[in-house]
Amino acid sequence: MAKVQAPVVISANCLLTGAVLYWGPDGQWCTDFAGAQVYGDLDAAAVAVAAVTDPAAVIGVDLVPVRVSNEVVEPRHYREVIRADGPGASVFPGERGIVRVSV
Amino acid sequence: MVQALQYFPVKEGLFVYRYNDFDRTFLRERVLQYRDQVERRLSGALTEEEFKPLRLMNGVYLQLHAYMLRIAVPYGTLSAQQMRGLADIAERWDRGYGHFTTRQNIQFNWPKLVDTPDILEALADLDMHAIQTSGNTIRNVTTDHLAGAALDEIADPRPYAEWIRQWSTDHPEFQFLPRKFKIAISGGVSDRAVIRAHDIGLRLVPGMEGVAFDIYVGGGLGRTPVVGNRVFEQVAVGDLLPHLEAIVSVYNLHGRRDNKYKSRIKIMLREVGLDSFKEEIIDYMKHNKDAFDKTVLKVLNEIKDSFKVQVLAPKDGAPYWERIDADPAFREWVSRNVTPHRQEEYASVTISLKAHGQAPGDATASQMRAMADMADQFGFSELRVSHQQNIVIPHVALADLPAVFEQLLQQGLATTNIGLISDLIACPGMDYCALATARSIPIGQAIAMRYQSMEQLLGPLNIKISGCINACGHHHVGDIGILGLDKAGVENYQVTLGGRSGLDTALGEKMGPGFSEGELMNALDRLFDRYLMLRASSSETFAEAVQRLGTESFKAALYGVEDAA
Ligand code: HEM
Ligand code: SF4
Repeated sequence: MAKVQAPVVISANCLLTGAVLYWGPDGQWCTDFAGAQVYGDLDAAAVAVAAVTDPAAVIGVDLVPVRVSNEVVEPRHYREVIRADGPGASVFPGERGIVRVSV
Repeated sequence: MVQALQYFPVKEGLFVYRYNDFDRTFLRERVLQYRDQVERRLSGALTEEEFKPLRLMNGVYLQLHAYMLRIAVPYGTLSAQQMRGLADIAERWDRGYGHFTTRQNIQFNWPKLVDTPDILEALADLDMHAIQTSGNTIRNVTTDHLAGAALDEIADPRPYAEWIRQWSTDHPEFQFLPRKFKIAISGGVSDRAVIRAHDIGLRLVPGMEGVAFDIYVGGGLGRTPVVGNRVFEQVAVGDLLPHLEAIVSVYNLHGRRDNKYKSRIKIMLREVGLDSFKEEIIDYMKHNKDAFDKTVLKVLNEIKDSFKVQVLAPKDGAPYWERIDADPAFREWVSRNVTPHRQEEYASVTISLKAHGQAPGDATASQMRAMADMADQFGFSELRVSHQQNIVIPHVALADLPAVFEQLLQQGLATTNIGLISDLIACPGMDYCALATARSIPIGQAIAMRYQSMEQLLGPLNIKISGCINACGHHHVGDIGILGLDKAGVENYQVTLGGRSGLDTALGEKMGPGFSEGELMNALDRLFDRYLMLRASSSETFAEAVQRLGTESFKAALYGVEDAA
């Protein structure tokens, strides 16, 4: 895989539910991509990752490259867009989108 | 080695195999162990690295947005009670639906880790589990969804599938094979279990003692698709398990563990050569045959008793014929979704889980309950999961078909499309799967919607879609195969034509550069126009036309270029 490029957000999966999580500016995990803290350089992100890795609460802490234009933040890769939005394919009402959990 | 034989059942029930106390105790103990492992993970005593193989041994995967629990449905057979239990699980611990897969299993896409021990306990109450639905083990044995009901059946494959299930479940030597290992068995004249796309494919054939087995080895899809070859012919029933044991043992010894892309038996066969492989199997059996003594056959006979072919009570077919005469929608549904049965007054009903625009293979809890109720009322309480991701009620009296149709209509389950373009297979793809390189379900949905109005015109056609090279959606063997890839950060769909499943299994031919989602739909438009123009008659199917004419002209249509000829 190509080397990760800044800017990035920090993401993981919730240990309890598997839900996609983002590290927010308040030092908390949230389930909304919009709540993610954007790190402009990888060193700052690495410092933050070292601080957040809590093996009892999350799995697979990773950096997700994002694109920022006109203050809108979006994942660069469609896989991360899908991770952020939840499966669009599910046909049964109420199943689309993100799991809301408190971790 | 023959330890698994202790789990043998007592016979009970009409058609469906039941566990005995030994099985039940074994399952309870497994659930307790797993519960403890989850607790230790949640308390931090186990790291994710330590815990992951333990959860996978119990069918718990982590996907993109949630955990996923894969539950084994042995040879695709479910009792009505089990189906109802799955509905309860979907509602209580998941999001009200489940996904039936091409491996005849069911997956729940949203369980919470903390709930998984409770779910496994609920499954144990149903005589079900998720053992060996992951990892480098012998996976759930799959078979013909019409087993025991098909008109062309040489012998019912399910007793043998159950025999193999008992031999392979918790087999102490086969828990850490070089890679996953899949066995399929077919008992019909036609193969409805895609046996040649499995590590071992078994075909029941007429033999000296009534039946015998042809054994195909080394099939598999994935990154390096290979069609399995017949390695042994006319293997006597009593020699089946020694053969299987020898094949898996030799694979266990020589299969590559250094490179996961070269670790399947198909690659090993290529490396050691068929003749020397066969020799080694024969040599191995000199030592292992004694281990499989008469008790093993006795067990098979007990299993056979519990699957005994029943003569179903005849019923007056008048209501059926009246409805056939009066109702074109019913007639159409019967011609698409109903298959003749070995017994004249009966039929097998395929319930389509492919309503146009729906995710293929998904069923809601209420639909599962409705199907279970119908099976209870009209189908001897038995259901099957087909590898085409539909549900089958194998034994229904013709006289009851009008009532079944009525109930299906009420449940939104009367989609009349079996074998047509919208009856497509799609793996979960990037909507769920962590390994995916592209989405597959939305492509399936888009195709089903786009061609809904012309699907009768297009006739029998099977499209199979995978969201990555692992080929869970069987794309290599579809009339049209679609493989979703990541091309420089954009979803890209590669098309193959001319794949076939069945005894003449063939891998589709890759057409050329892939398409974006939008381009793909236009390319398919052109492809179908070309087919309608070139077909010899309205009864020549797409697959037949491709076989007769070759792929050149269809390829030209896909890419919108004129035929060179
Ligand atoms: C978490 C979801 C899944 C994962 C991680 C997964 C993983 C894989 C992998 C790695 C392979 C390739 C194995 C190889 O070539 O050695 C594979 C093959 C396959 N899987 Fe899956 N799969 C998933 C879901 C499914 C589902 C939902 C189905 C059924 C609809 C399925 C059925 C198959 C089949 C039929 C094959 C190809 C046959 C073969 O093994 O040669 N898988 N899967
Ligand atoms: S083919 Fe790939 S994307 Fe589809 S389920 Fe299998 S591993 Fe996932």
